[in-house]
Amino acid sequence: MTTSNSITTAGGPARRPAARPADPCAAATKLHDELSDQADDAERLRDLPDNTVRLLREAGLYSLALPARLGGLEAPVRTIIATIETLTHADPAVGWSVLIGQGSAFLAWLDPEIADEIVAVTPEPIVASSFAPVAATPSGLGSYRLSGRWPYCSGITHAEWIMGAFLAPQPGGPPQMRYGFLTTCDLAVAPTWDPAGLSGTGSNHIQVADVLVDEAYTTDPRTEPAREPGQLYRLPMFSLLMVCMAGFPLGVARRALDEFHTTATVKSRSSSRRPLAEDPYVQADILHAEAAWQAARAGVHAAADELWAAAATTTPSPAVRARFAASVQHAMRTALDVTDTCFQRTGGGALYRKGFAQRCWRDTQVAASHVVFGAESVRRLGAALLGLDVPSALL
Amino acid sequence: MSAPAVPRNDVGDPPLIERAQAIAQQVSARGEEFASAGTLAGDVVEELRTARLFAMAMPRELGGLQTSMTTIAEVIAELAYGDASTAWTALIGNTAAFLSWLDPAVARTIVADDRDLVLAGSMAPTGRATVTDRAYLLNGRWPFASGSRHADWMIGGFVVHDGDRPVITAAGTPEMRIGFFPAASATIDPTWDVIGLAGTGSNDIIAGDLTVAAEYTAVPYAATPAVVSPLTMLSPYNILMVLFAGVPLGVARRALDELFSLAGTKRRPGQDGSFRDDPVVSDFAMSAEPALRAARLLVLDTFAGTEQRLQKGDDLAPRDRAAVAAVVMHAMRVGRDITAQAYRLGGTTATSRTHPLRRCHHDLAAAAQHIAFGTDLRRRVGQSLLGAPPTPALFGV
Repeated sequence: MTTSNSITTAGGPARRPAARPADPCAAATKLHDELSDQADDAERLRDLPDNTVRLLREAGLYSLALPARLGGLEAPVRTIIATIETLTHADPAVGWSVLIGQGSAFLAWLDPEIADEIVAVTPEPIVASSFAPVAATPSGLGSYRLSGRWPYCSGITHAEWIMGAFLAPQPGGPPQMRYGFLTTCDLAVAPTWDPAGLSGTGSNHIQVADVLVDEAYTTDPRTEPAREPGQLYRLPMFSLLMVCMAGFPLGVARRALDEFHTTATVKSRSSSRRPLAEDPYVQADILHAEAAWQAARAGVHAAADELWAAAATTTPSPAVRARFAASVQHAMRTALDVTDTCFQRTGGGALYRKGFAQRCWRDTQVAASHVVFGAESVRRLGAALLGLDVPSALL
Repeated sequence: MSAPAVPRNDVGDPPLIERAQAIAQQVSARGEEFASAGTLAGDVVEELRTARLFAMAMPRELGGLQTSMTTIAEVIAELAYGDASTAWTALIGNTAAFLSWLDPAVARTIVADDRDLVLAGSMAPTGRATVTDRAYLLNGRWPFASGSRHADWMIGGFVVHDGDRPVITAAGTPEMRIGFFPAASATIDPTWDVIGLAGTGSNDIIAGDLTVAAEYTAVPYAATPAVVSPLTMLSPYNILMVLFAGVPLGVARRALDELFSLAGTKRRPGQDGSFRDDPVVSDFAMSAEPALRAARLLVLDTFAGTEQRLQKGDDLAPRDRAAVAAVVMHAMRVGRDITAQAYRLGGTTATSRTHPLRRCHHDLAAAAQHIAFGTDLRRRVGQSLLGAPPTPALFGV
């Protein structure tokens, strides 16, 4: 048995304190080309290279949603969305790693003293997460012993902490889902990640074998109010997750379109010998793809503004949350369509690994396989829009 | 010149489709092996050759099987069910049938008596050649040369040049030809690092100052073939489309079967019951199954009708020729959609690089990128269906 959340064992390699960017989106833009250039390396490693993580961390980009009191940026939702969009445009695997790596947001739900301890030992921590619960047994002295598997833990090799779900037994009732903060150094990473896309995210499974977590390091952000007062933490867990996700489909689709614009003016297919841009099918397709992207982006922004305005005073209503989540679902569907159009219209050259057309296409499809974009999630949001009673924790 | 000996069995026993099924079974789990090698394994190439699956399109007069169009589609579909790269390699090897545009006496110097010829290369006129003494001095690079690693002969399209300027024909277009040359005289640039059909070895091939005797070149886009079979009475573009037809049919069938077997067992987080109980999944099954069957039956029906008329010696109207390509384009579109949806419904399970649904999806998406299914060809085929005067369908010659 190991004690995973003992503070003394926590901490990654020593690092420079992050320079606090006035504008994280500008910081992401500054890194854009360098991040784009490392995409092949990340794909080969099936994880972000250490240097990439260092750059992102030094720019404060893993701390977009970390409470300001704990040293984070506590950025408004529009800033989070724009920053993830920019990073995803550079390399979708970077965008995904960083959006999933915003788990430090949930330190806002921990006892402030515990949260203080965590950032004292690991300033601006990278917190991975897994929401598929493992089994737990009470272990006296207010702690749980966890055993099971956390699948698809993106960025786990770079994270100092993981927020992992478990089923806490309740006397005389069904177990309740809770989330425990554990240091990653005692967890076994199973090198299972060999995917069709988003390869650079290092989304390996974790074997949790009889690991102890102290009750004080656990919370349930789905049902408990945050301990930090900021506007961002009035968003329920699911909304906060969707805020982090929103920039991904916008960034990946924009990159596919930008790549296609370059290709279309210089490339011709040998059957016609005219640039792709002069092909009437391409012209019609690109119009629809561009308009779909603009509309999806405008929809996300409008719904995000509504969500953010509501959070200024209170927890946004289920209808407002459902509208925002629906805009992100729509953006992902649009990204699937746009990246497929760009891929198809690029022709045979799209097949080569060296190009971005196939990367955007593959990565979008793997991102869309995340459970929040699954059929069940879509139906739940649809039910909420229709005014049905949907469990608040899932909205 | 005497006719070549044809010592090999014809359709033989077991029949072609059963041989294809046996090979499909054998390659079903070898996709990763072929992908990491970037080409089909040598033993599979030899299996295909022994089963005579490279000789289906070749006219009997040149020692081929002259297999019916419907059987070709079914054989390729069976292979594609097992592994798309295997099917693709087999069908591209069958473009050896383009030898039918050479003088038969010359063609017979290329085909061997004891083993079926495998051809690779590209008719795309990306090469250029100058005329020398009854020969062409050929230089060029042809991408997407599937089967480059095991081909016996290669084919390359080129534009005839006089110095630096293309030679213009009486029709006012550059003179384009295809040349046949032994595979050993070309070099291979290993460019084939791709996301789908990775096992096909579709590298770039390069010819440098290669002398190709004039009789080893042809103008298949315009001229009628010297060796006649029902298949060669179609255009080279249509021959290619007949060869392609089985790919979407076989790959999409495999994808559906994979999804259906997943549906009985897979559970999703937060959902009761199996994956099969999800209305999205049952609705997909309900629409995909008849769509794929319809696409398949349309291909087989059109091929059978076309072949019947060609065998009777009927001339096909341009609209009928266009229909041959159109039904294959339809099968590709339907198959690609079904396979992409099956992959998406497979969720994170299917996104594992080694999962059959992943391979089906990426392989068929790659196949659909072939220029034969591109917008330029869609436009030409569509115009023929609308009654416009036909233009040569591939490479605008």
